[in-house]
Amino acid sequence: MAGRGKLIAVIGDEDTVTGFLLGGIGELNKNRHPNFLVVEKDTTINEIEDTFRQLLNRDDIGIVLINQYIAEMVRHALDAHQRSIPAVLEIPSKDHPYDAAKDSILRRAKGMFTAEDLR
Amino acid sequence: METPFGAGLANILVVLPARLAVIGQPERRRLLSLSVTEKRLWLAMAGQDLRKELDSLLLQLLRDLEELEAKRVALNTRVEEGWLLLAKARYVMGTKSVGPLQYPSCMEPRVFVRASENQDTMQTFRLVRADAQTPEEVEPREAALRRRKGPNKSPEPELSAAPQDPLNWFGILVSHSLRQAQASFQDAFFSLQYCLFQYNVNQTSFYAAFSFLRKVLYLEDKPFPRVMIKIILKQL
Repeated sequence: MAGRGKLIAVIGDEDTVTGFLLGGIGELNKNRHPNFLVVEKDTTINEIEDTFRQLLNRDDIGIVLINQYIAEMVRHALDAHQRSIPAVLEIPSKDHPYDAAKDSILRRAKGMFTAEDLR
Repeated sequence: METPFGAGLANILVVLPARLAVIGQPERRRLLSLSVTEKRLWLAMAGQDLRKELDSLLLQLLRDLEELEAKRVALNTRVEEGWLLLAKARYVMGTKSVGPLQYPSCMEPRVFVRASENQDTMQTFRLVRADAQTPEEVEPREAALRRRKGPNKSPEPELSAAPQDPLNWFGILVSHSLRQAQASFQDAFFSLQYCLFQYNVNQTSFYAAFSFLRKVLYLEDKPFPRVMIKIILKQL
C-alpha cells in the first residue's frame, strides 16, 4: 500500500471534479477523508480553506488540483504553502479562463525580477 | 564588457543567486559582515566564468518557463475538451445523470503519482496506473473481491488487479461522449505531469538564494535590478 504512490486531490466545481474523478483519481472510503471537494454556490470559504489545509497536511497526497477562481478565495493559504509536496496546480474553470498573472507559483517567479515581495 | 547588456542583466538577476546557493553557511555569514565596498570588490572578482555560468543558467530557466507555458496550455485544452464532452453526455443521458449524485460511497483511485527527489532537491513526478502494480501489492484487493463475489468464485489476478472503472458509476450503457470525456481527462494527467516537472524549476533554491543576495547588498528597500546594474557596471 505504501509503495503505490501518492494521490491526486481536486477542489473544484461540479464539472471539474466529475471529470477528474472519471479519470480515476478519486478515493472515498470510511477510513479517510475524501481527496476531493465539490465547491457549489453555497460552499463557504471556511469550508474550502479547511479542506485545502487538510489536504496539504496529509502525507499521502502528491498533487492538489484547484480551480483558479477557488484558489483566489483562499489565495493567502496558497501563498503560505512553501513545500514542493503536495504540489498545487491551478486550473481554469468553465466561467473563469486561466490567468497566469494570478498563479501563485508564476507570481513568485516574477517576483525574482522585481523589488516587491509578491508572496 | 564581453557579454551584451541584456545577458549581463540576466546574470545579475538570476545566476548570482544560483551561484550563491552553493555557498555554505559560514561563507554566507562572512559575506553578510563585509562592508559595502568589500562586497562590491567581491562581486567584481566574481569573474568571467561566473558570467558564463549565469548566462547558461538563465537561458535554461527561460527555456523551462516556456515549456511550462506550453504544457499548461495543453492541460487547459484537454480539460476544456473534457467539459464540453461532459456537457454532450448530459444532453444525451439527462441533466442529472452525470454529476455528484452518481458518485459511489466507496472509490478506489486508479492513478497515483510518485515523487522522487534528485540531487538538486527538485521533485519529479511520475504518474502510475493502478494496474501496473506487482502481484504482491494486489493481495488486499484480491481478498476484497473474493468477499464481494462469494467464497465459491476463485479470484483471477487480472480482474482483481484493476479498481472499478468510474464509467460504471453512470450506468451500464454510457454515452460515447462520456467515454471521450474520460479519455480527455486522462490525457490531461499526462500534461499535468510535465507541468509539475517544470513548476519545480521555479521552486528551487533560486528564490532563497535571491533573498540572500539582496540582504548581502543591503538592497532590501531599493529596486533591486537598477541598483545592481549600477554596482556591476562600475566594476567594468
